Amino acid sequence: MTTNLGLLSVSLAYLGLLFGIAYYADWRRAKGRSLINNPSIYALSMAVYCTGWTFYGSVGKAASDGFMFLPIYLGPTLFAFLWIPVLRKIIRISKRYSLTSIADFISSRYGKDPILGGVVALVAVLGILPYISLQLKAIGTSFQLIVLPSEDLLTDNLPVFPFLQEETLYITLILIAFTILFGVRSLDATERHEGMVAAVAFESLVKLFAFLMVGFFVVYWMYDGIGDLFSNAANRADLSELWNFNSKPGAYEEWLLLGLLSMLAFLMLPRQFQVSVVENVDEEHVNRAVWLFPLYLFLINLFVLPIALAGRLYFLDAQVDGDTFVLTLPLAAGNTTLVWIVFVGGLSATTSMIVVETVALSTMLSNSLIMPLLINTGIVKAGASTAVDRLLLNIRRGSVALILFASYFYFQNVIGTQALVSIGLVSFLAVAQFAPALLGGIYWKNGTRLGALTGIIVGCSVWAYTLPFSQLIDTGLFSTSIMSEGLFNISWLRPHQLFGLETMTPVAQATFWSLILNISCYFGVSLFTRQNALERGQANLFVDESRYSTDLQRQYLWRGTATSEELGDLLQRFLGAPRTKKVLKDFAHQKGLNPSIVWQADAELVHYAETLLSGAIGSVSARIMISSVVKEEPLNMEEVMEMLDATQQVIAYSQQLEEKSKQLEKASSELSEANQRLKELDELKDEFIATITHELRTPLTSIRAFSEIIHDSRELNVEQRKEFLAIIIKESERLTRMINQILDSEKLASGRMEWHMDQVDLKEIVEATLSSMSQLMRDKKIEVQIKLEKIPMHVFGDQDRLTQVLMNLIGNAIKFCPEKKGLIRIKLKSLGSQLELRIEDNGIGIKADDQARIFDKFQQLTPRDGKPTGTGLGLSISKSIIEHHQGSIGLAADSENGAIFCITLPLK
Amino acid sequence: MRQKLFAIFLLGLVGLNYPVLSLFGKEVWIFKIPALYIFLYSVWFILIIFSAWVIEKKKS
Repeated sequence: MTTNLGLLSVSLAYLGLLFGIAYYADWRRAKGRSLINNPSIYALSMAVYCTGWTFYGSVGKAASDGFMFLPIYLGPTLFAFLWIPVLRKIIRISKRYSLTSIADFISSRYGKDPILGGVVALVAVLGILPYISLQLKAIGTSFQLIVLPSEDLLTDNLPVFPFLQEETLYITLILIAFTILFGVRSLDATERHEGMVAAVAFESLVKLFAFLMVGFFVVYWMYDGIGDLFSNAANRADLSELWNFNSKPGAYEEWLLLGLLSMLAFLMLPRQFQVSVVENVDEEHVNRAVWLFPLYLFLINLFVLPIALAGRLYFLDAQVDGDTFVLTLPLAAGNTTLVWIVFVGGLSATTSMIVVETVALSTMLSNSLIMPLLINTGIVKAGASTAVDRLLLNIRRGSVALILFASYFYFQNVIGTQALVSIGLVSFLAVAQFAPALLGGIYWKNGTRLGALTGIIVGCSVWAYTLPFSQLIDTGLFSTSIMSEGLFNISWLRPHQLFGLETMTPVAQATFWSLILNISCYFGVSLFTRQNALERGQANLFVDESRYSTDLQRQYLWRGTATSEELGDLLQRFLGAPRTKKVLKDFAHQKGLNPSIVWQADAELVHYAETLLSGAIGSVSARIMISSVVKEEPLNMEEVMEMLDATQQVIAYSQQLEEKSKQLEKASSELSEANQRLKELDELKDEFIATITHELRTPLTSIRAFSEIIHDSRELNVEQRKEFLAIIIKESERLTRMINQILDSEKLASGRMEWHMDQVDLKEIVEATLSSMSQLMRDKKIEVQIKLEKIPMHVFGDQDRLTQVLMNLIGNAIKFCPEKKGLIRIKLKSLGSQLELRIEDNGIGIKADDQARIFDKFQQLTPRDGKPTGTGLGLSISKSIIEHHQGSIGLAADSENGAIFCITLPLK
Repeated sequence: MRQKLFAIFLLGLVGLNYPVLSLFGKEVWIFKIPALYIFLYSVWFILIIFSAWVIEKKKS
């Protein structure tokens, strides 16, 4: 469809765009405004899981085996639902101890064991090489197809082996440069590469977009929707098995095993560990990824089967490789734009995998394999003073080149015609062998180093024998009779029918046996071997990580002596002088020490230095280096346990102390509150007594006076006597009322009031009160205007108490109204869920300053004619009653010229 | 929240695996689309939506 030149220009332009994005993201990070500190970007970066395998290979698998392409996406989806406990724990542990690769994680957990680290690194590199090669194959094939003249597409002329080796080689070289530039620029202790992550996230979007475009094209342009596509497919008998679960023997097991395999392999893939754990910026981001990542998987898999069916339908004689349908269908349909989109999508899918995987593998290779070897053979001497930081960086870069060239070699010479998915599954199973050791390591304290080592070695042996070995047989290196008769002619040692399992596919049965044996060895050997002190300590730190999250709780399992200068010299060798200086200065500053003098290092500084070194050279080598500097006294098991126990005890005690002191604080604040209240009540009581006695004396004086007159006087006539007695009666009643008020007030304040709540109609209460006071109003010639809404106003309340309130308010109104010109207005209306009652008079009103105080106890206002009467408790009692009814009482704004009282109550 | 997610996990484990899927062995069609196709993708989608709801609602 295009020329070599066109192909190269588009590829270079796209890679240039990626360079640009990565560069920009790194620039942002240097400025402190990280581009990738975002949960959605984190989730998108995880989509590096979908590589050329997903983009090209899924359709190929679906075209021959139907739905069997799907389980490796369902596995991670299900596993995602467990990420919040599992993945976050792994992230926390890794960040805390600067563990920057799977090999480092595993070796650190099992006592910082160099052998385990080396084995894991080796298996990872060898196992992933085919995976990287398959990406190169996908790229190479897409190149080849794009430059093909269109007529050749449908003929049998499709060359089987990619002949454009030069282009693929160019791409390999460019990728080496890209990887080094954005993945291995400096020895950052955290091993984070923001530029790389940004580029990967971008590529995830591109490949999803491209794949969906093809999907829409196939379904809605080539056919009239999914139903149409399936109907067409249904006419072909050989296709119907693709969308059904045939009861082909082995299909059940394969589905389950592939699902299980992908669940375990997911985190063990170096690139997944890299983006999910090492590159993680914030643990919280995991939460969003739990559903966003499966959503991505869902979307990218939606059209796989339709595209596969369309391909089979279109290319009738199955001469066209299913792995290429995504590209060949648009090519055959002549849709040039779509072809370019797909090409770029495929490029995204493959290059992102290559870059991230290589960075992760190079870290493992240099930290867990090469560095320990250098130290062991004395090339890098512990205790020497030669600067090693440049050397380290170059080793890392060299590893990148080595891995990519090896993959290229594998691609050129070994891969041949195998389907993409089959190649990939081999790598999956290889890394899945780490799962028991890693997952067991964070949940089971008794997992020992020997157990992990045995499990991995046994599992890998089974893997190697069943899968890569059989590939080597295919290339003619070994006799084919091994496949048919078994090794040494023992039939149950046939690579694809190991131990007699006849019915499963090679991958399925390899998965089954390798994992079963791996797990059994891990558990079995662990139960029968013992851990040394360091292993035990590490096991605790990993499994119980939540208990060791603060500096105080962390047990530095080290006892020895060192000076800050010695540590500084050591760090300088690997991190360079400027960084070391800064690091030591920060530490001294934090501790309040003077950085320019040499001080005796404590466990904390040593641990800190070790963590920094781990980030640069791996935890195993870091430990070796540190021990060379520090005159260490090795701890035995009891001491370790003691230290761990002691810490736990100290923590427990300090927690108890905190509890107690909190309780003490609470108690003392309660006490001071109570004291305060008592003082207030005391004052109130004094006030009360003063007022009351004064108020009560007044009517008593009258009663006594008139009683004495009646008693002493002989000349009173009946009329006068009656008059005086009436006064006495009236004053007695007044006294009784006052005393009742005082009692009411006291009952309300102490909560001892008896309430008889019922559904009552406020309207009736108003009317009843008005009629009972009508005589009084007539006497004073007060006009009353009533405006009550027609509907009944039901409230849930105490009839007598509400009446009391109304009598108080209306009585006040009457008291303060001018003689002969008095006007009282009463309005009752409903406002939604409440009612509002207004009682207005045209008396002297209440001055603004007084308005706040009138509802207080013992507040009295002077009425028009003379001295204040009453206890001053009326309004405060009314207020308490209304508030008990969940209502409110107050003065309306314009109460300076005639008071307007406003009551609201909730309607029933 | 973790427990709800674990429940979703179990649901997926059962719903997306053999015994349940074998129910779709026969040729069953819904709107001309095979029932298995619809079932797999619907269950998958529902599990995702469900987990998204469990996680994101905690924040608001």
